[in-house]
Amino acid sequence: MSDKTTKELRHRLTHIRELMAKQRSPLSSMTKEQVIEAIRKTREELWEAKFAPRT
Amino acid sequence: MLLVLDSNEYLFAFGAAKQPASVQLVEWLTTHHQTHQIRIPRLIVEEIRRNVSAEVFREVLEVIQLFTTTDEDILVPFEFGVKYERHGLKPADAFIAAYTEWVGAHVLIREHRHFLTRQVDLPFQVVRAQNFLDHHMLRPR
Repeated sequence: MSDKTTKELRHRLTHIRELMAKQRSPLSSMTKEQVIEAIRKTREELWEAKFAPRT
Repeated sequence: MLLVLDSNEYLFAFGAAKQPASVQLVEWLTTHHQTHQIRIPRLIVEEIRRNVSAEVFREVLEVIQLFTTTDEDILVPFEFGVKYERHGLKPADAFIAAYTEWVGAHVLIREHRHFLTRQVDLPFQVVRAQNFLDHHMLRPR
């Protein structure tokens, strides 16, 4: 990866964090455990919607 | 070294909760792309999308495209997932384990506490961001 790409990646990561803070994402105010639980629920919902009908 | 990052690592790196190790991990990986490649299944991209705004997700996609290879979920052989379900994982987590094995990744990085950690015959390591950094930041490969 070139220095240019690394620089762009870091710039975009910073921008994402700024957006998350500015938009007051629900995840931003959660604890680590709460975020993990929220993502776990998302994963199960997506899985159910995507693959459960096929099994 | 080939890595799979679970969705929580990305979301923590993007500012969810306070998880400095995940932030540090993703930043470190942006400068070590030649020695540490990342692959993820589509499911992880969708999990991220469900947990951020459309505006944030547009930026996230750019980041993912710059330093991550994404594979379609349907490519992962069904029997790989079944094997992990038999080990006690829920289907979606079994899929992530199956994907990690299927792509031949060395390490799955995630923050969940329980993930077959008692299995001694896994074909990959399962570590948290901090553990990975502890082992690799001072030992560049």
